Amino acid sequence: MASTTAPEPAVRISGLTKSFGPLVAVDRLDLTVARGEVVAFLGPNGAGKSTTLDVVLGFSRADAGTVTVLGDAPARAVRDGRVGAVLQAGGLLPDLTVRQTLDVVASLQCSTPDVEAVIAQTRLSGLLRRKVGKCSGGEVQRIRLALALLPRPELLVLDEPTTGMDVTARADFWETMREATAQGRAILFATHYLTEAADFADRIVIIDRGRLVADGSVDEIRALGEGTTVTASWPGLSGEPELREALAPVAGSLLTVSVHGEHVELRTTAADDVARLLLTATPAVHLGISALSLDDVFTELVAQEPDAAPAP
Amino acid sequence: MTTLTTTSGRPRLGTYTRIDALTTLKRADMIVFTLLLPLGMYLFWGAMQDYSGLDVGRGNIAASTMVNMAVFSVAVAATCTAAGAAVELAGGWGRQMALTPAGTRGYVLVKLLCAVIVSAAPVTIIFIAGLFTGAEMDAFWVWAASYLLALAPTALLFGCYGLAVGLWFPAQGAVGIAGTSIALFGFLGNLFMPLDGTLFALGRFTPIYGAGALATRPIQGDTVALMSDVVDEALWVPLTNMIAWTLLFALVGLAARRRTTRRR
Repeated sequence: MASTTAPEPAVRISGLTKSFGPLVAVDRLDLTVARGEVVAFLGPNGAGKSTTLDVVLGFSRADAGTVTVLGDAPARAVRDGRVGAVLQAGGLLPDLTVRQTLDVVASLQCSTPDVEAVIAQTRLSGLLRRKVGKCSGGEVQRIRLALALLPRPELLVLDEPTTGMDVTARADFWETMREATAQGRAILFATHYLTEAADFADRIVIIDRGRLVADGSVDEIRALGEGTTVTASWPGLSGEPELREALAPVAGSLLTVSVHGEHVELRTTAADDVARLLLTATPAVHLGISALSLDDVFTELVAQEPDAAPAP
Repeated sequence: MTTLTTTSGRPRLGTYTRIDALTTLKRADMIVFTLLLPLGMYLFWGAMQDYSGLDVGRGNIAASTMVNMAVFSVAVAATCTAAGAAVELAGGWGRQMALTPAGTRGYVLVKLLCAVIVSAAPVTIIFIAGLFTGAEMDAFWVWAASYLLALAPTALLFGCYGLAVGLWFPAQGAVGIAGTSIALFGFLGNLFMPLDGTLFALGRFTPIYGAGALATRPIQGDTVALMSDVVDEALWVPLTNMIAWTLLFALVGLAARRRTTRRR
């Protein structure tokens, strides 16, 4: 990279708050997307993802906090054709053909887009004469992606681009995305499919009820749920010290330990060793071993009651 | 206009206007309500009546009726074209438009241009029908002036009206409300039959009156025909009506701007 001053990030959100009446949809959110970075914006329905993206795209204004896109006000960056967006369901005219739709949006750009190249990228050449209203969900999403790519944007924003698509169409869409976005542009996409986030993003940002819950690389998020859960019953267990003493040989592998009466729950990176030890050296019975999926991590992260949970 | 420093060129509205106008003209409901209905009304009241040949200034009654029906057809066509924006916006197209450099402003301009172009179809057909069924005017300039006055100001006024209704009312209702209201405005605006007394006094303040009175002015001059009488009217009366209503509808439409990018 040249040693000039670092360019403004693709998206910089700080302290964003947005309410609808009494409902606080987004609550003091901070989020930065660097140039060329692919960030997944993850959260359950109603977490505030779309509300945040609406502000990033200049559709609505923040109640408090600041949002800049590529160093500019959001509406300005959009007006200059520097941002492309794939919106949620709807948003196209069913009576136009695919070709007409592309031509209309292309003609409204500042510079003349290379429509044919975008058609090739998004594999739409076989559909051009079809009316948009007659296209399948997956095809419509590819049209939306094509529209978003027309201005050659520096930032691409996608709001749950695969909602309502079947598994094959989803895989197909991301395959197209991968080809179409190999040029290293910044991408911010909202989703509630964790696997999509893990497969496609450099970084995952998880929000719940308008607040940031986790922010890190895919590996870091996975590490939040690292290890395997081992559960057992230990009749007559006196407490956690006794358990820790028994497990001293594998102490280095333990991530969390909790004891509820006779019920023991551990998270460990060496489940086999812990299990062997528990079954041979202690009176523990009813042993259970379960792997923690990324979904479990996600569920755990968003399940915490923000009002009730004291600082750990 | 804002300056575009980082990009070259500007959005071009021609492509979208052409595609949208053609799509709208091919819609069956537009053909029936904006072409066939006003044409039929002209042929019935204008061409086929005994009084059609009577002289009313620089033309005959058939010509005057022809112009009134042309104004009505423009009002319907422009309103329905622009109100169609409501349906498109309800589908989220406003958000897609707002994402382009042309923006919401470009979209609204396209809809207004489209309203004028689509409206040209019924006016042209009604004028051609008039030419062959006894409408007479004294000179070519009277034909040309009547044609332009029936088309341009009326299309602009009712394009704004259609947008205002389209943006403020729910999509399913908007087109119906817009279309039906034009029939009422047409009646109150002295288009269908000469009014009298209180109705005329009231009608002068309704949106279509100015457009109709202006368009028949090349033929009738200052004279306005009432049911049982004729009155003289200064130019400023229809002109003020026209400008005031256009401004009002434009402002009501502008006030709805934020509604175009709402999630629905």
